[in-house]
Amino acid sequence: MKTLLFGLAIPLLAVAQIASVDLTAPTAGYRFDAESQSLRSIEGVPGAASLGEAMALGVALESVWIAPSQRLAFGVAPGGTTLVRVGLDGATASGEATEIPAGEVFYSPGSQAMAVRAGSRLEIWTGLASSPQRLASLEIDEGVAGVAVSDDGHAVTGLRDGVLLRLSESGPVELATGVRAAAFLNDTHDLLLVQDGALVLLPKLDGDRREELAALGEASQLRLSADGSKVLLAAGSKLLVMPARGGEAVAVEAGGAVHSLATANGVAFQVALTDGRLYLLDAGEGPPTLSLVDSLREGGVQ
Amino acid sequence: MMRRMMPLVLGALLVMPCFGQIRNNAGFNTNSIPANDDGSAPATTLGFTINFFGRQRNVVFVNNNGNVTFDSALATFTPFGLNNVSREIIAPFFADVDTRNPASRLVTYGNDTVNGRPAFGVNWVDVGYYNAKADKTNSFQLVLIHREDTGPGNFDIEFNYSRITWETGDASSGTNGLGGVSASAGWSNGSGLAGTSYQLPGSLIPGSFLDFGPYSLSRGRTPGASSGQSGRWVFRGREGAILEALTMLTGCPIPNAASGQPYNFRFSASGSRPPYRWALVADPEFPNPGLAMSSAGVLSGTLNTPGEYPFTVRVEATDEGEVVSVTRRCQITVDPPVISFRTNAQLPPAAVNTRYEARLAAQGGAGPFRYATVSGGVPGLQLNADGVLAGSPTEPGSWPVLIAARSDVQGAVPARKQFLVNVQPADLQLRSSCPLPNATGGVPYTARLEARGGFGPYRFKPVGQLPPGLVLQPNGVLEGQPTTPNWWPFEMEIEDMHGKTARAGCGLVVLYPEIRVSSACPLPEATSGAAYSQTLSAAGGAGPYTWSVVGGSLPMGLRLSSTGALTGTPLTPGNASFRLKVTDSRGQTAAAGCNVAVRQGSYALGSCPLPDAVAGEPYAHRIFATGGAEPYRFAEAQPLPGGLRISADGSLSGTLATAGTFPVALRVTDAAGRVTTRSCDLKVQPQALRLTNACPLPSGDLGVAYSTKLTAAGGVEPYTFSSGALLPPGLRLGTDGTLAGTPSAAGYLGLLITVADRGNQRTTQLCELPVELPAFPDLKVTGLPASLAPATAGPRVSAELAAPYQLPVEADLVIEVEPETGQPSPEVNRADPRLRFSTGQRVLPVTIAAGQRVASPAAQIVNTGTVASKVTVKVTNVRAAGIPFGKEASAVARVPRLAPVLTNVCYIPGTGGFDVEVTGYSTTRELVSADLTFGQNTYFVRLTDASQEFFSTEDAARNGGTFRVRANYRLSQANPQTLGQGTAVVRNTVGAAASRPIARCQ
Repeated sequence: MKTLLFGLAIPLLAVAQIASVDLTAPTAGYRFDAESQSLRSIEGVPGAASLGEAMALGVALESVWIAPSQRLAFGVAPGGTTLVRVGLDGATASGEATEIPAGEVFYSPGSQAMAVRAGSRLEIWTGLASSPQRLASLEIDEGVAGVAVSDDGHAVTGLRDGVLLRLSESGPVELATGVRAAAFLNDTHDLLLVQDGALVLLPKLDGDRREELAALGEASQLRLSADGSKVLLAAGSKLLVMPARGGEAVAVEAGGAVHSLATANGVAFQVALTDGRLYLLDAGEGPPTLSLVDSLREGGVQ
Repeated sequence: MMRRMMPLVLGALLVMPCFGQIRNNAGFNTNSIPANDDGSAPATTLGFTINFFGRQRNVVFVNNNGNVTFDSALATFTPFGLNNVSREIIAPFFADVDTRNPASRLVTYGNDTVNGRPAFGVNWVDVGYYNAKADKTNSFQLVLIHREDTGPGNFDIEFNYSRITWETGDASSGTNGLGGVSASAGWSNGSGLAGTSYQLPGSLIPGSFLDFGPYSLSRGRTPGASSGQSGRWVFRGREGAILEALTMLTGCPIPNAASGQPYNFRFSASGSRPPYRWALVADPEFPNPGLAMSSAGVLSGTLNTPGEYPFTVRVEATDEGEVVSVTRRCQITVDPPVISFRTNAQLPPAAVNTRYEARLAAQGGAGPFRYATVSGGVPGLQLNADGVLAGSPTEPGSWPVLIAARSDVQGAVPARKQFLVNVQPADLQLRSSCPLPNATGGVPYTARLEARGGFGPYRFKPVGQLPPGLVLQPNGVLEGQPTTPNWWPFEMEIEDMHGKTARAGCGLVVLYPEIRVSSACPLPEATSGAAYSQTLSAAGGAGPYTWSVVGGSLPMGLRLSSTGALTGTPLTPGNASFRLKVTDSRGQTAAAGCNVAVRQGSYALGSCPLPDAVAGEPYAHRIFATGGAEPYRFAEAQPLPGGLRISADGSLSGTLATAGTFPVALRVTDAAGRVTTRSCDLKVQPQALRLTNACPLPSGDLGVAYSTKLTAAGGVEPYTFSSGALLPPGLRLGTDGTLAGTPSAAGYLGLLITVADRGNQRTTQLCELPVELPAFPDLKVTGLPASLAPATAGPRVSAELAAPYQLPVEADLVIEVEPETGQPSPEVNRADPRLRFSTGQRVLPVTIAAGQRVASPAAQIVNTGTVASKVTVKVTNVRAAGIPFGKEASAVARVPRLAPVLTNVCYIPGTGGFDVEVTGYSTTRELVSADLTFGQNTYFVRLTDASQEFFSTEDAARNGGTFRVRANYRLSQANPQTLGQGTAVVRNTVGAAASRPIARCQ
């Protein structure tokens, strides 16, 4: 076969070959443990899981925000001024310094982008899986909370006193009122809201195309599954599971007041109660099931 | 005109002779360009089509000035470089050709064949230069040969040269055809892109192309050309491009080598067709200096002798079936070694009178190296030829030493370096042994302290407190009279003559002085029958003192207390000798003999006071007399109390039945018949009060009526009974001693009994009352089904009695798990540790309340685990009121062996491939295989060996039957970012998991 000076290569046949196979113990997600200033993995699968020991990150952290993909996290070391990036792979983890200024982290649903908030400054970073790049830097009102960012980093919202704002370099724009929680759907600018007791979809942030998906009562927390197909809502001690773009909602009793929701692998969620119990909720095939993982020490709940 | 025509005609009729490599094909002379300067022939067909860098060309413009073009005629006369032009041009010799001089021939061209292949040739033979000069002429030729045999549009280009004697026209700054902007040669497609042009080395460099120039065209040839034909340059146009000829890129001479050091250098080439094959060529004029050339072009070896070593190197390639090569003479210079020291100038520190050794190391060229001292040195250290500086330094200080290193390698440059050794004085410290010899309190003491290290003489100074009574002199003498026995540590400061100080600690023990008996012996005289009292004394040691008689005996009637009081009434005269022992508070003892004389006292009966008797118990006491003549005879002077009698030798004995005080009157008669009497009171104490019941008391039963009577003896009746706070629940104790009631607690119960007599004498006794439990009913475990689904919340289990019990029943619920994976290896066949109660343990204490049957709340098994197992829940350690019943019950469930269950399957795209993650559990703790399907392709993965290894690990044991399989795939073409949906099926020895779609992981 000739290779010509112009470099006109003849296409090769397409072949996929297995380069390696390895077996390890599974993890369903991670929790921050304030006592050890490290992360603990949730070992096992929903229905058979337990909390592992503190992981050796190589650095002590006083705050950590774990990405929905459960494959990386960003945290702050005591006295640190920049974020530490932590790569997660099963039972192993490793930390490395970054130049991203320290602040509270809000992830996009696909873990591809994040918003980092320090005071009135909000920085948007993309390319989290490989090499984070700063996309934008916004000045926001310090009263804005509940920041949500899309996977491409170009759409950012926040909440202030129940008002949903679109945040950009040209200033905030009011989108809706009576909002208690908001989250973007994977790879889109479609936004899910908990608004006036209902689950609402705003396709492409367009209020004129507002679509009410379900009645929720007093739900105040909203979380998407890691694969973006299901949404979990919490209202007191009651949990609601439904498809992300609407459908039948299934209620599950948590057995205690819900403190926080977090994602786990696939279509599973982490549910932490105010009494320290941690559960995994499997929203996969069949009715959702809740299984106890462990009881966390005070301060260990994220 | 006539003159112009002739060359054309002649060119048409004559067969051109062959000059150098110029082909003498007649067809190349078919046409001619009339004598001209800067002219061109009309567009001419090649007779075949060539692919010139993608353009199909079959028409060419023959230009007078040593080139042909394909786009349009070129009249330019001053040559330009061919690597950055916008013309399609092939130029064997681009210069200002001028054929107007009659001595110059014309430029001719036309079609012919070369080696049977169609060809188009252009001859510039014997052509002159501008301005119409022909004192020097050049002969060169361009031939384009159609090579359709290798592919459509392929062709060869030949530049053939016979004679090059001029290089520049007058209009290009040339002088007599030389200098100025000299000729260029090569080709270009005019795009300026890499690989689309070529310029022969020497282009535009005056003098280069001339016959004897450094880049002579008539004597050079295409680098790598297979034939030895100088003056012919061949280029191959293949598939629209012109291949670069084989070229040796490495210049000569190559980098120097160091004598005795391994050498390694890679040659490089380009062009033609790799792979290249390198070799050193046998050259009689330049034999191989001892290096090796690998076929990959690496020249290596070790040369020990400095000098210059020429050699000949060749590179070959195989190009369209023929071998092409380039050979070049080259040279390598071997530098003589320069020796240097690797060792730092500051050698490790040394200390006076301490063994020292430092090893020097040199480098540069091949060893061995020889070392020698040039100047300086360290007192006490010697340097040997191997570079070892050793010995024991005798003087402190900073000592420079200049040392040289040499080798026997010819031309090696020796090294010299000055090293420095710091020799520290020995550490200043105390030399004396500590602790010092013991001192004794009150005894003069002297000891001398000594130091070493640093620089003497030394001065001593105490730091803090010394032993009381001692002083430390500056010369180290510790002296005085210690006053206080104790262990006395102390500190001192030692200073040498340079003022350097060091602290040291020491100590000594000051002993107690020896103990002795200080009382004067004999003791003062005693009188029989008269009271006597003396206090003994001791000195030394540490009080208080304890006295005893260790030999002989004291006079009868005297006794010695432990405090040293000798008291009593001696009964008989005489001398008594005895040995005294005194012991101080530290156990130190002293002994001394002593004696006391007892002289005769007046005659008397010594009987009062009489010691007390106890009613009902035997009484005995010896009566003595003093002052008379023995033997004495005793008798009663009045009737003695009932039960008491006196013998003639003075033994008063008997048993008195009644308590009280009774007079005892006695009479004694000595040997002389003299009689004396005396009366004393005898006090008879009542018998001690006590309980007479046996303990423990007779047992009772829980909840059954009970009664028993307590009794007492001694003291004076009547008796009154009472109990303290310790009384078995459900019972009462009456004052008459009746213990009755219905026990409401079981066990070995304690009660405290107090009895008082009429005289309010009291005694208290602790006794036990055993109360036994009623019969215990049967019990069982409830709530455990026969089968447990894996990875689910477990059932709520409990213990249940066949009938309620009167007391709270305590027990332990215990989970026992026995793995049943079917795996023979014990490392794999392990139970899931997650199968436990919600407390995190496998043992849970439970209580069944009194009167109930079931323990409440039921115990939650938090997780059924993911391993096939036999699960046994037992109720054990059953007890009530702390008393075990020895009863147990159990129930059994099973987590079955199942096909794998998948909980999550997804893929992660990466560079050149993707990872698939399959998560789930296998209750058999083994996997056989997995099928992963994307589109039409199914990839089978065997997992038997990997799962056997994984499930044997401790990490896997902690996680039961759960697993994560990660398979990494490499793709050559498909974009891993857009794999779309797939499915996964995983198998174990039981069966296959349900197929599950594979989506992209987030």
